[in-house]
Amino acid sequence: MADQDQDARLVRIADLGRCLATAFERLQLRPKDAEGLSGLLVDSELRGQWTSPRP
Amino acid sequence: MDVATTVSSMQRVRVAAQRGTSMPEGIILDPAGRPITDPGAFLEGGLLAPLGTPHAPYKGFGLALFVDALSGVLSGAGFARGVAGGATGNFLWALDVEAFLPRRDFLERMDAQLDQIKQGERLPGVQELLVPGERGQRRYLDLTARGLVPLAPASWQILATGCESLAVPLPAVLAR
Repeated sequence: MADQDQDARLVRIADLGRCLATAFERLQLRPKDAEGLSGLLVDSELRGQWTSPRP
Repeated sequence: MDVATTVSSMQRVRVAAQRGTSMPEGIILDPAGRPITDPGAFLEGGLLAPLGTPHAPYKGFGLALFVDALSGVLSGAGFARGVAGGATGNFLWALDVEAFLPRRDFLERMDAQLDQIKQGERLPGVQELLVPGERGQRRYLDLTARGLVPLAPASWQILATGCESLAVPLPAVLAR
């Protein structure tokens, strides 16, 4: 992992996805949309667009 | 390719503020436009320096104006100062490759372009030339193979706040 990840919390991808999808469902999104949006956010995190931001 | 039209993204400054570290010079400005390095001061109404700062900030400004015209003015969403209210718009632009040339030709020409970049001369100490997205793609493949994702403190805080508000359990933390 990059240096920027050194003070990060490590979680399972599946757990994060489930957490986000559940949150979006609580915000009245349909399960399919909640899952899709959750996957999009997790994908961004995996590519380091939030944890290891570049200019 | 995911970039801001400023020298730094807002997220990079937020992360620095959360860690209590300074930003390099020439990246953030105070509300009056004076250069600063304290990300905390920036978050109290500061500005991000446009791409091209310090020698050609007009280039970044022009790009930002272009993006705002498409995603704000054209889309009907907020634009310029109106974006501050949260009325953010998006602009998606899809090109039909085959309206220009056959798909196969395009892919071959793209491969040739990237080959030239990857085989370019390197300065001493530079191990490899990367193209936009390559670093993120490697990170993605590495993390998905392990099934794990690292969340920065700033991201974790946002997640924790949202989960508490919605009564959703946080994911288990395996390590810090």
